[in-house]
Amino acid sequence: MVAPDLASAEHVYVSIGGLPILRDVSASVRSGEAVALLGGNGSGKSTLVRTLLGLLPHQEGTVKLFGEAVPGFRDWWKVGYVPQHSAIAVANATVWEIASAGRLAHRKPFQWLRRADRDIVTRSLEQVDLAARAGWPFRSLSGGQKQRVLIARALASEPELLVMDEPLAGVDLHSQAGLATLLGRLRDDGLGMLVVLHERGPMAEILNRSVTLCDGRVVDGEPDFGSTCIDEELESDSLGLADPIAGSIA
Amino acid sequence: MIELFGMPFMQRALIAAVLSGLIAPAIGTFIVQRRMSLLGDGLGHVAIMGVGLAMLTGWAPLPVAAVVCIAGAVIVELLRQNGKASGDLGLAILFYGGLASGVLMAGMAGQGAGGLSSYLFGSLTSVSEQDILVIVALAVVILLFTIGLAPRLLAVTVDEAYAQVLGIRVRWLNLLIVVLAAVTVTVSMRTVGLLLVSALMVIPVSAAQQSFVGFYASFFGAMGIGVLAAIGGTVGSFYLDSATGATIVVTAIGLLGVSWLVGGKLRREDRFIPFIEDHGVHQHEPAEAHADPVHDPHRAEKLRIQHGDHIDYVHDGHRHAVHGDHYDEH
Repeated sequence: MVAPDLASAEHVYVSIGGLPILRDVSASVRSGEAVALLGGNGSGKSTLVRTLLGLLPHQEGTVKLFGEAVPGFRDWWKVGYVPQHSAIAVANATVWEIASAGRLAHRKPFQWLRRADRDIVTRSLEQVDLAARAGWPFRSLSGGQKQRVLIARALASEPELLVMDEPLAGVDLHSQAGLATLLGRLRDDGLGMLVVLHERGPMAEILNRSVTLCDGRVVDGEPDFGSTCIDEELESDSLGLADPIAGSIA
Repeated sequence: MIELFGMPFMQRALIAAVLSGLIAPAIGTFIVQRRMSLLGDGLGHVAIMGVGLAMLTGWAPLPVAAVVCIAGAVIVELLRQNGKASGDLGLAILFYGGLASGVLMAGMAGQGAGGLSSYLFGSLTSVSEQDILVIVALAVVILLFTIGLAPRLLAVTVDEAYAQVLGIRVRWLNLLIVVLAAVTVTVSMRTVGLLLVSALMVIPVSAAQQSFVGFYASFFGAMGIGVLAAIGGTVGSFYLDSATGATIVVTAIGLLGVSWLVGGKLRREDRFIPFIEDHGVHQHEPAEAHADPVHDPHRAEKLRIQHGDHIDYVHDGHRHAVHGDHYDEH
């Protein structure tokens, strides 16, 4: 029997507040591969990720995690979600306290962390090279360091799939390369990855393949960064702006 | 002082006040993290409706206020979860509706607004033995949930989406937070009073965040500061013959002021040196001459930046790094 995809969407339709966002989207992540989810702002890539994670309901199609339908999936520790670091605003929680949340997937309510859990949190921080900062306030870190803490938090649940929402956003160029190296190492250790990206940038080397979204649909080929993914000529024609200079003279 | 603690009504007042000082910051920590600092204030207004209802019906005020306040809290949270509370409008209607109907019912019961005042601002002498039993029981429940579930409540208040992907029951925990807040408000109405209870949920938390590093240090620190304020305020109100709630809150604000003054030293914030990547591209540019780099005042410069593998010292608005016998501009 073939192992099921880590995450898969088949012919998924999603509407938010009656507004169709995703239309007939199919995508999957297999074990040990890093898949990029590309597209411009408003292309629906964040919506697809949120749907795959069960954060948004879908109206049609099937969404599965590790072969089980979402909703209904229970083994949430297998999924390591890494949001953008700007989503986290804490007064004075430490790096360790933030990262240790990942162990909660293995603990029931009212069960506090055991020694073994603590060791795993420390090991996760070592993996992202932040063990020396464990006792520091999360707030005092740089953008790249914060992003690494959130990766450590995801690793702490010992996941088989990492889902990352624009991990390079708000991270300086030099740290972006460091993050890409770290993620490449994790992929080589056998972790599957789904990475939402605005552009490939330094991640290009570690990606196995990509899925490009445009206007809520999966499109073939490469997104055209720097402009929209829609065919430029068609759009400008329809707006009557094919020749803006001539238009302004007239 | 000794005879003060020998008086039965004072003992009851102190027990009630200490428990308020303990539980209000315990749940307040999560409310502040969720950026709903004024929730306690709103729930206090809703509880006034419960008190008015109790006066009208002759039932015991504490249980009635608790039930009404919990109902209000659940409505507020469900409105929020379903995105139905447009701005703060829905909340405001609920809160002021609570206040108005409470005053109305108290008036119909012949007590008027004056009868409400001991609930609005707290009243030392009005804590009965029966009240104490209810207060202790509710306080134990609140501490059990807030401390026992602290890791989960922290995860939910810090990052709801992540907590949900962990499989944590986010909706239930969010409801739990507002229900615990509602219970805390009613438990505290005899001591700090309904109008000021919110202060005890927020001010000790803020003082603790000024003074401690780490969530759990601040969590337990806030409870300690809350207890200090409660004891200081209760004893102070006896001697000053002032309203208990107001005295407790003023004491808490005093502690907050102290934490602003000494908190930075307690946290030793300068340990946490900001980090900047070293791109390794520096032209060798020696800094202006310094008398003696090894024993230089730079060593004592407050502002330091970890620049890759070395420390830069911020000096007159530019960064100096040690290079052999001199400093370089970085």
